[in-house]
Amino acid sequence: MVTDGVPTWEEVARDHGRFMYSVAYRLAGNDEDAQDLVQEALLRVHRGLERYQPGSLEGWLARIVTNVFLDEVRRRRRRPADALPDDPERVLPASPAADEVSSGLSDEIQAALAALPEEFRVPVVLCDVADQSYEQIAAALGVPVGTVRSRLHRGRRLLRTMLTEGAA
Amino acid sequence: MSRRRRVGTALGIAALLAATCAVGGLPGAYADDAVTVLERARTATVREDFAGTVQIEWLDDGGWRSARTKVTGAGGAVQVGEGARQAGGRAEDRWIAGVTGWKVGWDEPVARAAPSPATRWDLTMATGTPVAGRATVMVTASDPKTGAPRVRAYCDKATGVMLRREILDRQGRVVRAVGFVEVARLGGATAVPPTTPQAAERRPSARGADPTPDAVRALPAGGAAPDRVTGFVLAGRYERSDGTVQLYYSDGLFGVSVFQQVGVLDPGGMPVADDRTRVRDTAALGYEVAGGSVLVWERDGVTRTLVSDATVADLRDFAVAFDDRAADGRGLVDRVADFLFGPFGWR
Amino acid sequence: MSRPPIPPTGSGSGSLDPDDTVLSAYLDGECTDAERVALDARLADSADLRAALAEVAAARDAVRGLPLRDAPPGFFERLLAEGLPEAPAAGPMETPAPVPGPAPAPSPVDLAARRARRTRRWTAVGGAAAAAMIAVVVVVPRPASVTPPVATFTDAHAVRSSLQDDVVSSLVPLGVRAGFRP
Repeated sequence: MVTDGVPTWEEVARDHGRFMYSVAYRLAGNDEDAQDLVQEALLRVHRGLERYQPGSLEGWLARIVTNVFLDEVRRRRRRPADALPDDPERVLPASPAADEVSSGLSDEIQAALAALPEEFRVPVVLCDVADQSYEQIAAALGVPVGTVRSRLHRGRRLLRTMLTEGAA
Repeated sequence: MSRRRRVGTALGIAALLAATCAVGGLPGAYADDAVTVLERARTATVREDFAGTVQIEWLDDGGWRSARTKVTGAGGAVQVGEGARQAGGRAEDRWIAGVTGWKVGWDEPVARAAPSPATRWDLTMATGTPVAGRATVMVTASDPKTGAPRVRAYCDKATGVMLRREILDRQGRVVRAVGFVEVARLGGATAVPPTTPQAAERRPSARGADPTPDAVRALPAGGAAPDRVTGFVLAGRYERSDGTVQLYYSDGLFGVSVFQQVGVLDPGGMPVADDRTRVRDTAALGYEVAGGSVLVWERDGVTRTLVSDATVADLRDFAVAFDDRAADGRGLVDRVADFLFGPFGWR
Repeated sequence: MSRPPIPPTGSGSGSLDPDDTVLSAYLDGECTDAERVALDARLADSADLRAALAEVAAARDAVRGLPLRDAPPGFFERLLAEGLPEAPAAGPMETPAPVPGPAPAPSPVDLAARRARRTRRWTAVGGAAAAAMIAVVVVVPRPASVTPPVATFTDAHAVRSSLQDDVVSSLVPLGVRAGFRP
């Protein structure tokens, strides 16, 4: 049941769980973190901690997942022992899980995506995975549209370089 | 038929004849008349195999916007988009895909009870400018009252496929266009049909109910469904799983969906409008997006949203007439006609 | 799987002008009409620029072509059957707020700790809360105001229109963003 345009967390999980998981996985780069991101995002939906923007449910959900991801990145930066290196420009891609079946090219692209510094990875994922407009991404990240445009472009250039050199 | 209309029709026929001569290379089957060309165009994309890129352009309060997407047609199936935004169709099934997976968009028959476009518009035909490198026949639909062109359709000379459709405002300016910027295989070799989701892949709705709209006869309290509105004919009425009623009107050239929700409009929760306008004395919100023009207003506790590729100005006229018809209530003739020829009769 | 090498910070394809952010915007339909016209003219004149555009398009297509990612089997089913786990600590997140309001400052959430608890802290709290919400929804009268989901309506119109008119031109909006500004 949708009340006043605001879905319950159960509806979100059933109808948009796959979307949230895809965004979370492309941001986090591994299943363990993706599950945590989605779970925390659903909690935020349940507790109404994020304002729903009618007209773009998936945009709203992508924004929540992204906020959870960025909160976690900031938290890990404050506590470097938690794994992520301090230098976001040198973030290493997550290792694939042992039971992860390699799917060739997709894995290469995912690895390149995970290797992107998160300031570039987030706009790329929001644009090319979550299909958000520049304005929506700018609103989600609290940066000007021009910054989104620049980071997205730089992210794609880096991706292209990594994929080209990786294939060489 | 008014004198002006007769003159318009005569000019249309003359233009049609002239165009038929001018486009001497037309296969006979496509030289019949403009109505035939449009009708063939409507079905050509499910007869022909093709792959290409389509660009959609529209004018909003910030200027021209545009977006491109890939399109594939083969074996009667059509698929548009990529990644998180995709849609497909075969016969009367439609699927919408996002990164959430495929969802059923439509799965029931629809009778094409729309009027002929010639009923309301003057149609002319001429050789069009090439689109995506292919020779075209251009059908122009003009307002018989003003002579202003409102739609130009560029159809492939060889296959009949509509390659470009331009919407013009009442002053004759193009305000929206959708067309191929490149196309391959059209009229050539057949291709492997695009991958469409199998039944098992289509996700059920959250509530386990049919997520597609159902044709309905009875409307919720406060709802209205006049048979005719300013030249548009009611072609179907449906109830969505959230209780919203969707009415679909057509004048043979434009389609208008009317979404009715019982409740007062909360404008504070709406996206930023391109156009804060009015429907008679009521404040309304207007939008221009890739999917068309959108007009939202509320009257007597019912919030209505119109969506169409017609302009917001056209939608305002439609909204005024709709409100009037809704307020009048429906007469006995309407109700009998609905019963006999309503959506159930078309299925 | 071979891991792509990490490029030096700030490096990119040498064939691209770093200032050419308009290339991405062009591909995304996010540039202004004037920019598009200007870029079309530049593209017509410059093979290098066309190659640069193709490189960016390839990267864009690569990500857009990534398959959907499913959660491990049972993840959502377990969440729905057992409810969301308890929040780790009392605080703003513990305050029930069935109707979304302005977002308070986000609390740092220890996802690592939550991960450790994930499999053992499924409680009835979530289920009870869900049941309570359902009860509230049942007894509270239908709200008097509505906010039409215009993006959903636009898609629904495209689908219905495609059954009456040209399939391609009707469905194309479903292949691009609706463009509503939040």
